Amino acid sequence: MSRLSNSVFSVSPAALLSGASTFDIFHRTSGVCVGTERLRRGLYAPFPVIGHPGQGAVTLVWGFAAVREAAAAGLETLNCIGIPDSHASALEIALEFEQRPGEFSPAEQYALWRLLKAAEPVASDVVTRIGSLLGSSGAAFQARMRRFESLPNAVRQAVLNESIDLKTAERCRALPEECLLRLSEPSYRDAGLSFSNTRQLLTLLREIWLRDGLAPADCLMLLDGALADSDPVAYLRRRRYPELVKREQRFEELRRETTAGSGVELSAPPYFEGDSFELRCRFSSRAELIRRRDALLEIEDRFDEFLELL
Amino acid sequence: MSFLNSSDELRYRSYYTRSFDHFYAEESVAEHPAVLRAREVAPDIPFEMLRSREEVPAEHRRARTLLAVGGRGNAVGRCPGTRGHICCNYLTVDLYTGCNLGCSYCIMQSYLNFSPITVRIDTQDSVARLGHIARLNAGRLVRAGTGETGDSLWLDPLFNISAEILEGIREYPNLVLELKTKTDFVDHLLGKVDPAQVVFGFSLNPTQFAEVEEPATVPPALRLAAAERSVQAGYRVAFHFDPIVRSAATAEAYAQLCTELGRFPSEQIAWISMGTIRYPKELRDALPDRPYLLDEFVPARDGKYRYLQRDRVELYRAMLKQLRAVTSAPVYLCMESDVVWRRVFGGEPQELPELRRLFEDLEVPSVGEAQ
Ligand code: SF4
Repeated sequence: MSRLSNSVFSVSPAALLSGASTFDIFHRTSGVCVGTERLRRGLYAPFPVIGHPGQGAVTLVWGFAAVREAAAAGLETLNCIGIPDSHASALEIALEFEQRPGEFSPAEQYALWRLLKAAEPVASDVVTRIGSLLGSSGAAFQARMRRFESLPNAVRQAVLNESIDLKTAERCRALPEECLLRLSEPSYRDAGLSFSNTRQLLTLLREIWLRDGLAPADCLMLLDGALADSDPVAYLRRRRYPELVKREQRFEELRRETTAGSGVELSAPPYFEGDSFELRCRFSSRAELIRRRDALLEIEDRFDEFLELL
Repeated sequence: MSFLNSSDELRYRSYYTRSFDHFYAEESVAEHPAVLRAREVAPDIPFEMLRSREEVPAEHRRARTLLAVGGRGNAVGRCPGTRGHICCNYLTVDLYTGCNLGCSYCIMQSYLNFSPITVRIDTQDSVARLGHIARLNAGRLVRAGTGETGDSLWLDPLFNISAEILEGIREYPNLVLELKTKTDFVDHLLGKVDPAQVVFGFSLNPTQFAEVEEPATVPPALRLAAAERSVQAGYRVAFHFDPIVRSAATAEAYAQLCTELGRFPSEQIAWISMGTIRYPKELRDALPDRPYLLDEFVPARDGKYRYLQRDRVELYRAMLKQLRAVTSAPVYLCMESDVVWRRVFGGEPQELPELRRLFEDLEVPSVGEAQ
């Protein structure tokens, strides 16, 4: 790292933490874990700072978590190294220390973007290097951030707290604000939905909202109803695809009524596309065979009801 | 301007001048008669010659730019039928890429955000390949169309390419070219091309739907009027109900459209096709949020999203009944499964005497095989 000056100096953890917290933007566990013992024994790369204790306050550029750990462990000083007073190169150095391309949270990326934007004009090669330290390209990083900035506030918040990803956010940005705000509330996070379930849930909600022309309050009520259900996605799917779900339920009923306990497995073609049902069974005794046969006779009796579904 | 009459000249000059801001042509085709014709029809569109299509300025890579390209080589293929579905046994000739008639269900909408409307000017190779296929399939009907990646007739009064192709295939009587359109731009061809080898195909949808979802097309009533002019001039026509979109409002309108076909003599309707709306999953995000896309769609066996099978069958049966009441012309389904075919028609196309000729298996050699 040629941008670091050569002289190492000592600064107390308290002084480091009382300086500006401008660069305290990384909140996921760092890829480089220092650990109290190594801090105590001085086995670590000096912490990058802007400024020098002899000339006033210093600004810690990277290592806030480790410095807090050192303060809690009662260490008196930590080795530091001065870097040029430029936000862009400070960010680059901080990212080099982080060493986790591709694993930065949306909040971290956005904080970084805001710092970059506030910095002096940033050369494009710096943006390129920062992009690659983030695990993409400079252009992709910029494009992602611009897309993010074009979202309404409520959706941005949901992306920052990782309730939804950027793509889902863009798709659902037009939902009533009440619903979007819900995504940042504990009740939503408590539902414990995965990214993919969230995407499905919001896509369904958005389509129902558009199709039925729901008022914002009704849309919110629908979302709340879904979140209160044990399977929020299935809840909305029933409303979005009433015909399909009706057929699935009818098939389930028929299957249960004709084959329950018989050892015969009966399945319908996916999405009821096709003209044949599938039956599977095994038997190893006469009694089993008779049970299977009775189930088949039952199916035959109700053949028309099955056929109705396709 | 020999191929347009004077009122058409005025109409098309103003139409195309309103439609395009720039007209580029690759050097290799800049002096091609089709390009010269286009410049004559619409002299007010600023024209520029380029060494290659890559030179179109980035800010002009959009639907208001017209680009004439050379690029000989194969542009003839089979209609892209899909897995588990019966294809309409059609050869496609790729002349146009792009269209700015703005149908909301058309994938060209997303394509056009970054591309000019491209016209493949040199048809010699395509004509030669069509001829080769026609010879290989002597005695069988070979149907070809230019409307796969754009509208067959939308730019035809500008370049007059269809007439050129038709002239080129004259010696193959078993070859029929369908010009499928959502316009009424037929008059420049009537009386000038051989009625035996051309079919004017009109896509039809209810007026209320077309007004909103096919905003820049010619209204269906005018398409029907163009079909009537074609028939009166001795040509055969085809009608395509595709995409069929269901709603409380459209059901009655489709019935009425079917009834209207009764005014055409059955023997002058070459075929009628029906196909409900469908889209591949990956394109859903590219399509705008239109009310009809919020209906219930499920993935069919080819992965494309369609209405539930049972609902499609009902729609087709109802429409077929209405059509049968007014015409005996052949009716077929576009990209439908064998099951739906059997439920609607009682059999697959090769098993149905009225459709056997349209669906006869064709021998289509791969490109490069000796001609
Ligand atoms: S006319 Fe055809 S090609 Fe043009 S936008 Fe409509 S569907 Fe697409």
